[in-house]
Amino acid sequence: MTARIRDEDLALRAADGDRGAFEELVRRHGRDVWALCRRTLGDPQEADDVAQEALLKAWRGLSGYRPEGRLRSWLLRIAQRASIDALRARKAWTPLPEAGPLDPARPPLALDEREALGAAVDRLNPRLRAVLHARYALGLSGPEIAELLDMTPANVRVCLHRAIHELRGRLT
Amino acid sequence: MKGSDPTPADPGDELLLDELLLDWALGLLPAAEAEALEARLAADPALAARADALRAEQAVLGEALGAGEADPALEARLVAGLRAAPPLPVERAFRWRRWVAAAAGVLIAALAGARMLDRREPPRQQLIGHLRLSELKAMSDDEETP
Repeated sequence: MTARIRDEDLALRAADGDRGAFEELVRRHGRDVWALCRRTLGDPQEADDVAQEALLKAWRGLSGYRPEGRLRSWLLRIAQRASIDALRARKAWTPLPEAGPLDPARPPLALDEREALGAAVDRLNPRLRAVLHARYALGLSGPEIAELLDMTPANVRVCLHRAIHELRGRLT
Repeated sequence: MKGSDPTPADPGDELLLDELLLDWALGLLPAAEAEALEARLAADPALAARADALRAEQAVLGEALGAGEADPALEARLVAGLRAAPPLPVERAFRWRRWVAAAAGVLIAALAGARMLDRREPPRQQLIGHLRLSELKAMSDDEETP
Protein backbone atom coordinates (compact mmCIF):
# COMPACT_ATOMS: atom_id res chain seq x y z
CA MET A 1 0.00 0.00 0.00
CA THR A 2 1.44 3.39 -0.95
CA ALA A 3 1.25 6.23 1.55
CA ARG A 4 -0.62 9.33 0.46
CA ILE A 5 1.78 12.19 -0.10
CA ARG A 6 1.06 15.13 2.21
CA ASP A 7 -0.35 18.28 0.67
CA GLU A 8 2.54 20.28 2.01
CA ASP A 9 5.11 17.97 0.35
CA LEU A 10 3.24 18.18 -2.94
CA ALA A 11 3.28 21.96 -2.59
CA LEU A 12 7.05 21.96 -2.11
CA ARG A 13 7.48 19.80 -5.20
CA ALA A 14 5.14 22.06 -7.13
CA ALA A 15 7.06 25.12 -5.93
CA ASP A 16 10.11 23.47 -7.47
CA GLY A 17 8.30 23.41 -10.82
CA ASP A 18 6.63 19.99 -10.75
CA ARG A 19 3.30 20.68 -12.46
CA GLY A 20 2.11 17.11 -11.85
CA ALA A 21 2.34 17.70 -8.09
CA PHE A 22 0.22 20.82 -8.40
CA GLU A 23 -2.34 18.98 -10.53
CA GLU A 24 -2.69 16.45 -7.72
CA LEU A 25 -3.41 19.32 -5.31
CA VAL A 26 -6.05 20.61 -7.72
CA ARG A 27 -7.65 17.15 -7.79
CA ARG A 28 -7.72 17.15 -3.98
CA HIS A 29 -8.93 20.67 -3.30
CA GLY A 30 -10.26 22.07 -6.59
CA ARG A 31 -13.84 21.21 -5.67
CA ASP A 32 -13.63 23.20 -2.40
CA VAL A 33 -12.03 26.12 -4.24
CA TRP A 34 -14.75 26.09 -6.87
CA ALA A 35 -17.56 25.75 -4.32
CA LEU A 36 -16.30 28.74 -2.33
CA CYS A 37 -16.16 30.83 -5.53
CA ARG A 38 -19.59 29.56 -6.54
CA ARG A 39 -21.19 30.48 -3.23
CA THR A 40 -19.49 33.87 -2.97
CA LEU A 41 -20.19 34.84 -6.58
CA GLY A 42 -23.61 33.22 -6.86
CA ASP A 43 -22.95 32.13 -10.45
CA PRO A 44 -21.57 28.73 -11.50
CA GLN A 45 -20.16 29.95 -14.82
CA GLU A 46 -18.27 32.81 -13.22
CA ALA A 47 -17.13 30.42 -10.48
CA ASP A 48 -15.42 28.30 -13.16
CA ASP A 49 -13.38 31.25 -14.39
CA VAL A 50 -12.55 32.64 -10.97
CA ALA A 51 -11.63 29.25 -9.52
CA GLN A 52 -9.33 28.67 -12.49
CA GLU A 53 -7.79 32.09 -12.04
CA ALA A 54 -7.35 31.46 -8.29
CA LEU A 55 -5.61 28.15 -8.93
CA LEU A 56 -3.27 29.78 -11.41
CA LYS A 57 -2.51 32.50 -8.87
CA ALA A 58 -1.74 29.81 -6.32
CA TRP A 59 0.51 28.01 -8.81
CA ARG A 60 2.37 31.23 -9.56
CA GLY A 61 2.57 32.14 -5.89
CA LEU A 62 3.75 28.82 -4.50
CA SER A 63 7.12 30.31 -3.60
CA GLY A 64 5.23 32.42 -1.04
CA TYR A 65 3.56 29.41 0.59
CA ARG A 66 4.94 28.43 4.00
CA PRO A 67 4.53 24.70 4.80
CA GLU A 68 3.63 25.42 8.44
CA GLY A 69 0.17 26.63 7.32
CA ARG A 70 -2.44 24.23 5.97
CA LEU A 71 -2.39 24.20 2.21
CA ARG A 72 -6.17 23.90 1.88
CA SER A 73 -6.68 27.08 3.92
CA TRP A 74 -4.08 28.87 1.83
CA LEU A 75 -5.80 27.85 -1.42
CA LEU A 76 -9.20 28.84 -0.05
CA ARG A 77 -7.95 32.28 0.98
CA ILE A 78 -6.64 32.85 -2.54
CA ALA A 79 -10.01 31.71 -3.95
CA GLN A 80 -11.88 34.00 -1.58
CA ARG A 81 -9.76 37.02 -2.54
CA ALA A 82 -10.20 36.23 -6.24
CA SER A 83 -13.98 36.03 -5.73
CA ILE A 84 -14.05 39.35 -3.87
CA ASP A 85 -11.98 40.95 -6.65
CA ALA A 86 -14.47 39.63 -9.20
CA LEU A 87 -17.39 41.01 -7.18
CA ARG A 88 -15.62 44.37 -6.81
CA ALA A 89 -15.04 44.46 -10.57
CA ARG A 90 -18.78 44.28 -11.12
CA LYS A 91 -19.41 46.51 -8.10
CA ALA A 92 -21.28 43.78 -6.29
CA TRP A 93 -19.04 43.62 -3.21
CA THR A 94 -21.02 45.95 -1.04
CA PRO A 95 -20.85 46.54 2.70
CA LEU A 96 -23.46 44.84 4.82
CA PRO A 97 -26.59 46.96 5.00
CA GLU A 98 -27.69 48.26 8.37
CA ALA A 99 -29.07 45.41 10.38
CA GLY A 100 -32.78 45.53 11.02
CA PRO A 101 -34.16 44.43 14.36
CA LEU A 102 -33.85 40.71 14.98
CA ASP A 103 -37.11 38.97 15.52
CA PRO A 104 -36.73 36.11 17.97
CA ALA A 105 -40.34 35.21 17.39
CA ARG A 106 -39.52 33.90 13.92
CA PRO A 107 -39.29 30.14 14.13
CA PRO A 108 -36.03 28.40 13.23
CA LEU A 109 -35.70 26.94 9.73
CA ALA A 110 -37.25 23.54 9.36
CA LEU A 111 -36.53 20.48 7.24
CA ASP A 112 -39.19 21.26 4.60
CA GLU A 113 -37.40 24.54 3.80
CA ARG A 114 -34.23 22.71 2.79
CA GLU A 115 -35.00 22.81 -0.95
CA ALA A 116 -35.61 26.56 -0.99
CA LEU A 117 -32.56 27.37 1.12
CA GLY A 118 -29.99 27.29 -1.69
CA ALA A 119 -31.84 29.93 -3.72
CA ALA A 120 -32.48 32.03 -0.61
CA VAL A 121 -28.78 31.98 0.25
CA ASP A 122 -27.92 33.16 -3.27
CA ARG A 123 -29.99 36.29 -2.64
CA LEU A 124 -28.05 37.22 0.50
CA ASN A 125 -25.23 39.75 0.63
CA PRO A 126 -22.01 38.08 -0.69
CA ARG A 127 -20.28 38.47 2.69
CA LEU A 128 -23.07 36.59 4.41
CA ARG A 129 -22.99 33.94 1.67
CA ALA A 130 -19.26 33.47 2.13
CA VAL A 131 -19.60 33.10 5.91
CA LEU A 132 -22.43 30.59 5.55
CA HIS A 133 -20.47 28.60 3.01
CA ALA A 134 -17.37 28.54 5.21
CA ARG A 135 -19.47 27.35 8.13
CA TYR A 136 -21.71 24.75 6.52
CA ALA A 137 -19.95 23.60 3.35
CA LEU A 138 -16.36 23.79 4.55
CA GLY A 139 -17.21 22.98 8.16
CA LEU A 140 -14.90 25.67 9.56
CA SER A 141 -15.00 26.93 13.13
CA GLY A 142 -15.52 30.60 14.02
CA PRO A 143 -11.79 31.42 14.29
CA GLU A 144 -11.06 29.51 11.05
CA ILE A 145 -13.77 31.44 9.20
CA ALA A 146 -12.32 34.68 10.57
CA GLU A 147 -8.90 33.73 9.24
CA LEU A 148 -10.23 32.67 5.85
CA LEU A 149 -12.32 35.76 5.29
CA ASP A 150 -10.05 38.33 7.00
CA MET A 151 -12.66 39.12 9.62
CA THR A 152 -12.66 39.23 13.40
CA PRO A 153 -14.35 36.32 15.22
CA ALA A 154 -16.89 38.84 16.53
CA ASN A 155 -17.77 39.85 12.95
CA VAL A 156 -18.10 36.21 11.96
CA ARG A 157 -20.59 35.73 14.80
CA VAL A 158 -22.58 38.79 13.75
CA CYS A 159 -22.63 37.63 10.11
CA LEU A 160 -23.76 34.11 11.03
CA HIS A 161 -26.57 35.49 13.19
CA ARG A 162 -27.66 37.94 10.52
CA ALA A 163 -27.55 35.38 7.75
CA ILE A 164 -29.68 32.93 9.73
CA HIS A 165 -32.17 35.62 10.73
CA GLU A 166 -32.42 36.85 7.12
CA LEU A 167 -33.01 33.31 5.90
CA ARG A 168 -35.68 32.78 8.51
CA GLY A 169 -37.30 36.04 7.44
CA ARG A 170 -37.34 34.98 3.78
CA LEU A 171 -38.46 31.41 4.28
CA THR A 172 -40.70 31.22 7.30
CA MET B 1 -26.38 35.59 31.09
CA LYS B 2 -24.30 33.06 33.02
CA GLY B 3 -26.24 31.30 35.76
CA SER B 4 -29.13 33.78 35.66
CA ASP B 5 -32.86 33.06 35.66
CA PRO B 6 -33.62 30.89 32.58
CA THR B 7 -36.99 32.48 31.88
CA PRO B 8 -36.52 36.17 31.08
CA ALA B 9 -39.54 38.36 31.27
CA ASP B 10 -39.00 41.28 28.88
CA PRO B 11 -38.43 41.11 25.06
CA GLY B 12 -34.87 42.42 25.37
CA ASP B 13 -33.94 39.51 27.57
CA GLU B 14 -35.78 37.19 25.20
CA LEU B 15 -33.67 38.48 22.33
CA LEU B 16 -30.46 38.02 24.32
CA LEU B 17 -31.46 34.51 25.24
CA ASP B 18 -32.25 33.73 21.59
CA GLU B 19 -28.78 34.99 20.59
CA LEU B 20 -27.16 32.98 23.35
CA LEU B 21 -28.97 29.84 22.24
CA LEU B 22 -27.96 30.47 18.63
CA ASP B 23 -24.33 30.94 19.70
CA TRP B 24 -24.59 27.63 21.51
CA ALA B 25 -26.12 25.88 18.49
CA LEU B 26 -23.39 27.35 16.28
CA GLY B 27 -20.71 26.10 18.66
CA LEU B 28 -19.47 29.63 19.25
CA LEU B 29 -19.82 29.69 23.02
CA PRO B 30 -16.69 29.24 25.14
CA ALA B 31 -16.69 25.88 26.95
CA ALA B 32 -17.53 27.31 30.39
CA GLU B 33 -20.52 29.29 29.06
CA ALA B 34 -21.73 26.32 27.04
CA GLU B 35 -21.65 24.13 30.18
CA ALA B 36 -23.56 26.74 32.19
CA LEU B 37 -26.20 26.98 29.47
CA GLU B 38 -26.51 23.20 29.19
CA ALA B 39 -27.13 23.05 32.94
CA ARG B 40 -29.98 25.52 32.45
CA LEU B 41 -31.35 23.50 29.54
CA ALA B 42 -31.41 20.40 31.69
CA ALA B 43 -33.53 22.23 34.25
CA ASP B 44 -35.91 24.01 31.84
CA PRO B 45 -37.85 21.83 29.34
CA ALA B 46 -39.25 24.86 27.45
CA LEU B 47 -35.77 26.29 26.95
CA ALA B 48 -34.50 22.84 26.00
CA ALA B 49 -37.21 22.61 23.30
CA ARG B 50 -36.06 25.95 21.83
CA ALA B 51 -32.47 24.73 21.88
CA ASP B 52 -33.47 21.50 20.12
CA ALA B 53 -35.21 23.47 17.37
CA LEU B 54 -32.06 25.55 16.86
CA ARG B 55 -29.94 22.44 16.70
CA ALA B 56 -32.32 20.98 14.12
CA GLU B 57 -32.02 24.23 12.14
CA GLN B 58 -28.24 23.78 12.09
CA ALA B 59 -28.72 20.30 10.66
CA VAL B 60 -31.04 21.69 7.96
CA LEU B 61 -28.50 24.37 7.03
CA GLY B 62 -25.69 21.84 7.00
CA GLU B 63 -27.65 19.51 4.76
CA ALA B 64 -28.81 22.23 2.38
CA LEU B 65 -25.53 24.09 2.06
CA GLY B 66 -23.06 21.32 2.73
CA ALA B 67 -23.67 19.21 -0.34
CA GLY B 68 -21.46 20.26 -3.21
CA GLU B 69 -22.95 20.57 -6.65
CA ALA B 70 -22.51 17.30 -8.46
CA ASP B 71 -20.20 17.83 -11.39
CA PRO B 72 -17.96 14.80 -11.83
CA ALA B 73 -15.91 16.56 -14.51
CA LEU B 74 -15.01 19.53 -12.33
CA GLU B 75 -11.51 18.44 -11.28
CA ALA B 76 -10.66 17.34 -14.84
CA ARG B 77 -11.83 20.73 -16.14
CA LEU B 78 -9.70 22.61 -13.61
CA VAL B 79 -6.64 20.49 -14.38
CA ALA B 80 -7.19 20.98 -18.14
CA GLY B 81 -7.35 24.75 -17.59
CA LEU B 82 -4.09 24.61 -15.70
CA ARG B 83 -2.45 22.60 -18.48
CA ALA B 84 -3.56 25.17 -21.03
CA ALA B 85 -1.72 27.92 -19.15
CA PRO B 86 1.75 28.82 -20.42
CA PRO B 87 4.63 27.31 -18.44
CA LEU B 88 5.88 29.39 -15.54
CA PRO B 89 9.54 30.44 -15.19
CA VAL B 90 9.94 28.07 -12.24
CA GLU B 91 8.57 25.24 -14.37
CA ARG B 92 10.97 26.05 -17.21
CA ALA B 93 13.80 26.05 -14.65
CA PHE B 94 12.52 22.70 -13.35
CA ARG B 95 12.60 21.23 -16.87
CA TRP B 96 16.04 22.69 -17.47
CA ARG B 97 17.27 21.22 -14.20
CA ARG B 98 15.83 17.84 -15.16
CA TRP B 99 17.76 17.96 -18.45
CA VAL B 100 20.94 18.94 -16.62
CA ALA B 101 20.40 16.12 -14.10
CA ALA B 102 19.84 13.64 -16.95
CA ALA B 103 22.93 14.88 -18.80
CA ALA B 104 24.98 14.71 -15.60
CA GLY B 105 23.78 11.13 -15.12
CA VAL B 106 24.85 10.15 -18.62
CA LEU B 107 28.22 11.83 -18.13
CA ILE B 108 28.82 10.10 -14.80
CA ALA B 109 27.85 6.74 -16.33
CA ALA B 110 30.21 7.34 -19.24
CA LEU B 111 33.07 8.30 -16.93
CA ALA B 112 32.44 5.28 -14.72
CA GLY B 113 32.41 3.01 -17.79
CA ALA B 114 35.60 4.51 -19.11
CA ARG B 115 37.22 4.05 -15.73
CA MET B 116 36.19 0.40 -15.64
CA LEU B 117 37.64 -0.14 -19.10
CA ASP B 118 40.74 1.69 -17.98
CA ARG B 119 41.13 -0.68 -15.03
CA ARG B 120 41.02 -3.63 -17.40
CA GLU B 121 43.80 -2.10 -19.54
CA PRO B 122 46.91 -2.75 -17.37
CA PRO B 123 47.03 -6.55 -17.90
CA ARG B 124 46.78 -6.05 -21.68
CA GLN B 125 49.40 -3.37 -21.63
CA GLN B 126 51.55 -5.41 -19.33
CA LEU B 127 51.27 -8.32 -21.74
CA ILE B 128 52.20 -6.12 -24.66
CA GLY B 129 55.03 -4.73 -22.60
CA HIS B 130 56.22 -8.21 -21.78
CA LEU B 131 56.01 -9.21 -25.43
CA ARG B 132 57.97 -6.14 -26.45
CA LEU B 133 60.61 -6.85 -23.78
CA SER B 134 60.85 -10.44 -24.95
CA GLU B 135 61.24 -9.23 -28.55
CA LEU B 136 63.95 -6.74 -27.56
CA LYS B 137 65.71 -9.38 -25.52
CA ALA B 138 65.57 -11.80 -28.41
CA MET B 139 66.93 -9.15 -30.75
CA SER B 140 69.76 -8.29 -28.37
CA ASP B 141 70.51 -12.01 -27.97
CA ASP B 142 70.67 -12.31 -31.77
CA GLU B 143 73.03 -9.35 -31.99
CA GLU B 144 75.30 -10.77 -29.32
CA THR B 145 75.47 -14.13 -31.05
CA PRO B 146 78.51 -14.11 -33.37
